[in-house]
Amino acid sequence: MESAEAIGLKDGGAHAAGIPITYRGVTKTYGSEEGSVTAVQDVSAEVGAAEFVSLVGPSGCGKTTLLMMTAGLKPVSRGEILVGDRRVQGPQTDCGIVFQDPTLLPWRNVLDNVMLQIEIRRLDKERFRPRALSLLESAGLAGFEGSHPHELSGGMRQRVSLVRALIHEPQLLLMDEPFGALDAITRDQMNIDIQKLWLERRQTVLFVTHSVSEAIFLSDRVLVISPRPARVDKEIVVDLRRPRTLADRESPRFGELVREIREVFLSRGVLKQ
Amino acid sequence: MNRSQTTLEPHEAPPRPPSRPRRRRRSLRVLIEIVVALTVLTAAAEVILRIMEVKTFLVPKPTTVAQSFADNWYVLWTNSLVTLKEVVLGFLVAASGGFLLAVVIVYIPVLSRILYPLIVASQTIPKIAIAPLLIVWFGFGLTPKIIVVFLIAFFPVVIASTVGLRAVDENMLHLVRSMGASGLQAFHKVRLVNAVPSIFSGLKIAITLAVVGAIVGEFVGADAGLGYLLLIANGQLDTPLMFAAVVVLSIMGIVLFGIVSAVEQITPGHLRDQTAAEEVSAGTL
Repeated sequence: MESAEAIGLKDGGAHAAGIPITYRGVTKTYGSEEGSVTAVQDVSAEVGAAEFVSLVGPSGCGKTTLLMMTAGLKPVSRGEILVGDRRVQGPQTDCGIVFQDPTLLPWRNVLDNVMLQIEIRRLDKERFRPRALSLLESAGLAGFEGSHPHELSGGMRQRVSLVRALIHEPQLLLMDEPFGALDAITRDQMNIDIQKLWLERRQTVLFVTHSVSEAIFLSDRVLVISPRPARVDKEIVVDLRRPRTLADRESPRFGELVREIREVFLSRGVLKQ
Repeated sequence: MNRSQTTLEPHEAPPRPPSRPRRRRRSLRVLIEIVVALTVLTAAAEVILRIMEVKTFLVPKPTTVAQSFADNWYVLWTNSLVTLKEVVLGFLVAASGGFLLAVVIVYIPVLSRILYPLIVASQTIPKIAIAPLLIVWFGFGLTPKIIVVFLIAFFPVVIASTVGLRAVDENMLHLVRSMGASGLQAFHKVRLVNAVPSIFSGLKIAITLAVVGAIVGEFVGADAGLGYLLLIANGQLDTPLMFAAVVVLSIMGIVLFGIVSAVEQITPGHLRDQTAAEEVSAGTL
């Protein structure tokens, strides 16, 4: 049984920083009867501890596959992924995952959905309940603990999903287009909220999106992924100061960064003029 | 941890859940409507049969059936218990057997390729045709009836449970695996509860088929039960008793169906249906 300390939970004070990820020649091929398809080709990259890194690329380029391999939910065909100093060989448990869909259990209320994480890990429920409640409160869900997912709006469901991914204080947060299904206003709000939460906890975050501006707004570094098979085409360091505001998106530097990414897309034929 | 600093307000107002008392009042109204409709139909039948002077051995009047019911209540009661036992035991075997088959089909692809055609083939054989064989093998007792009930009722359970167990969101399974869930945990915390509405739709069909199965079993060879009673009454041209037996059978079917539905209501997964229905009505699915 994992103790709360082993997964990095502290009862107060600053939280330990995240965990680094290393990709070494990571390749993923899917075998089929007509031959094999390469989804990810020879990706080598580093994600620092406590770094917020986004993967940006066209739909179906293999970003999600890369994320799933990092979580240990899909096997790597060649190469290796290290989380910390451990090679990923099965499902990673010291991480929180948020998908595009909230993936909540409809028959459980909000609190029980969050506590699923604790139940399955066989951690002390009584100990984590106050933390679940305070996280829900900080996610603006105070008073909705007993509601069921069908009683919540799309944005609120995604907040529950986020709280569930954070409840056990993971060192690594994997997010697969978490705000892709939300309307633009909710999405902006979620971006601000995620930044706040991250500045407090500083987990390592791997964030998959196809929104260029979302990637720049949130990240320390953006990895631009090529069309299938996925390769890291370009690495862009976002040197905007934090906390960033929505107004920063109109700043000249932000514009330059957007242009840089767009040029990669243009040169790869992802965008055509 | 300075959590209190992050007070984030949702800017969307949550929709309100429908109130429960209203639902209960509606189901009471439905019940009253059914009772009224049945009373009117019965009264109408009585009047028409009297006016047209239809012979009792062809179609007995409701009052005649009621009289037969009163005269034969003990025979009806004892034979009902026999049939009820066959139906319930057969249904339990069909439900558990069907569910286990579904689990095997979902988890073991090799076996599913072998089993599925066999299961489908078993449904193309008319049960009435093999019932005499079962009598030869197992005698006149309970066993052949349970087997006939099983053969008729397990099919919808297999199909519905397989669909339900497969309908789980792949990402939900990924998620619990990332939490370190064992296969068993993933099964009972996610897959099974998710399948509950489907499984119950299969069980509801199965319970009504189970009544049919028991009667088929009794028709072929029995010394007790409502099916046996029907055959005896038929032989004696006692049409009112046949009608009485049919009424008892249908009441038995309705009550058993009601019990299965009631069990579904207290099973956690039934909320899934509600969510899906509301998502459809909200146009977000």
